[in-house]
Amino acid sequence: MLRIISKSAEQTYKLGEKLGKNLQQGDIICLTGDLGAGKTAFTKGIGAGLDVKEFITSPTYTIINEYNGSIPLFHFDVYRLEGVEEMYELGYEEYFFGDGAVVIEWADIVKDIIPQERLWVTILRSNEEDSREIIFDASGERYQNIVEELMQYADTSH
Amino acid sequence: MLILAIDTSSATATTALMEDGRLLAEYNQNSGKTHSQRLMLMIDDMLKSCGKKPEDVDLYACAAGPGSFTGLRIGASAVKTMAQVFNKPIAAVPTLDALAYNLFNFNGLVCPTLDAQRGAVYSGLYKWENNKLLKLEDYRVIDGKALVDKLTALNQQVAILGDGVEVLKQIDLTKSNILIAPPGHLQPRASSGAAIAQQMQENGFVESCYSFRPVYIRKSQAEVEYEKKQELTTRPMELKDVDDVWEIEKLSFRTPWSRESFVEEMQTNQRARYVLAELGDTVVGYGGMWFIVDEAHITNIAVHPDYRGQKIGEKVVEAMIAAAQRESINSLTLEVRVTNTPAINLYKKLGFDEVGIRKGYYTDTGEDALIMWYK
Repeated sequence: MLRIISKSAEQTYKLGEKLGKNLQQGDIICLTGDLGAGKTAFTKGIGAGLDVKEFITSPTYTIINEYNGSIPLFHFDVYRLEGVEEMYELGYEEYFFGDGAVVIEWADIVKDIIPQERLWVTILRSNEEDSREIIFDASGERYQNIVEELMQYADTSH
Repeated sequence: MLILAIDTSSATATTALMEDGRLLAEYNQNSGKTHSQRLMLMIDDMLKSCGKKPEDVDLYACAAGPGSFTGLRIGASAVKTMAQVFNKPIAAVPTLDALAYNLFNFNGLVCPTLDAQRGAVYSGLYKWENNKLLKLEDYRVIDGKALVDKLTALNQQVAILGDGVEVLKQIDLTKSNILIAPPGHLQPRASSGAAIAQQMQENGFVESCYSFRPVYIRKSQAEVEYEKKQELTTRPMELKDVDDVWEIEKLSFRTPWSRESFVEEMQTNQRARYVLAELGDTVVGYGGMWFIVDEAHITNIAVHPDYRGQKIGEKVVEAMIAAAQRESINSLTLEVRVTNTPAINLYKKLGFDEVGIRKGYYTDTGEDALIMWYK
């Protein structure tokens, strides 16, 4: 488990960008946290790390947005879903086990279908206005390696 | 009548233009899923090169599923939009029927397959009879390995096609009765969809842009849950398992052991070793043995009647051999009713040899026992 304090939306974005650079096909990133804490800013960073040129917006109504980058980025926002049943109806397996990286906002709503190995990122507001606590919980070797890279980055950037 | 047919249900995007039964053009692209970017360009280019305008199209043929959910949605939204704008009907062409149509009059069974992710495929089974395509089975999602086993068991020539072939190819097909269709027939072709759409039109099976919707097939929640629980594991039996084991004992034997005997085996008999097989959390089989000096005497093996035929007995015996070997006991012996051929065959398969007969060993029927040894 890695905890990083981000002092600004800019820093949250940079952290996402760093993560994005390390992502590969089939990677699953779950995102949860307080409303307005910066999940979308973080995802925009991931997109930048994956060389996505398009403007990333939260797919609250479209549920899934797909972006072309160095690999495809599948951006889910499952806030409006009632549960996993609707994920099956969406055909989520084509994305989760497809040729891109997956970011799922509000992933706790569909946690039953989240693969055992994944990176779970929680972004929490803190007392200070713009400061955020970002917690990285990795499961599986692949994601532990990613977190280690982030750890080194965090050490050198503060 | 001008038919514009499209199929984006799999890795291939294909469009065709057919006029009064004559194929004017067909575009196939199988270079990765970029259907949402390519489809309208393909249609536009095809219409223009044939000197046709979008409003000339009389009927839209759309691959209706099963197939990739995303792919089906791309096709459906394109066709629904055009059909709505020009107020023309849509023929909802079953994807797997259209694939099977690629192998017109093939002399054997046809099994179209589409990748359903994680080793599974959408599949159907067809045969050609008197120039007619007969559907032998309903569409389904099936694990690739299970499908290959099923097709092999059919014992007749089966041609497979569609992008599910990539999944099935991971399994060794060389010695089977399964043929892979050649590249030109392997992938969905909108010309097949157009031909089927024409028949549908003649039979009045077309619909409006409002009623048309893709047919998604997916694993039911029950199947998904079941698969999660499917994993078969073995472990040593404990006292808490006595009731589960005794239940299986009662269902399996004419003269079952008492519940107390199992409690005793667990609590006081130092020689006894029991192994359980579990599917998820359910105890489905067990086997027991007594270690006597350097030999293991197998006392009983049983599999719950609801779970027989799934090689659980085999797993139990293997686990018992392994458990004995862990305690440096390399010989195991058992008695089996001479009439119990399936069990005898199983033991032989696992390395047990027949070494003798005990006359009238079973008191209930007076049957002889076959003595078998594993060394």
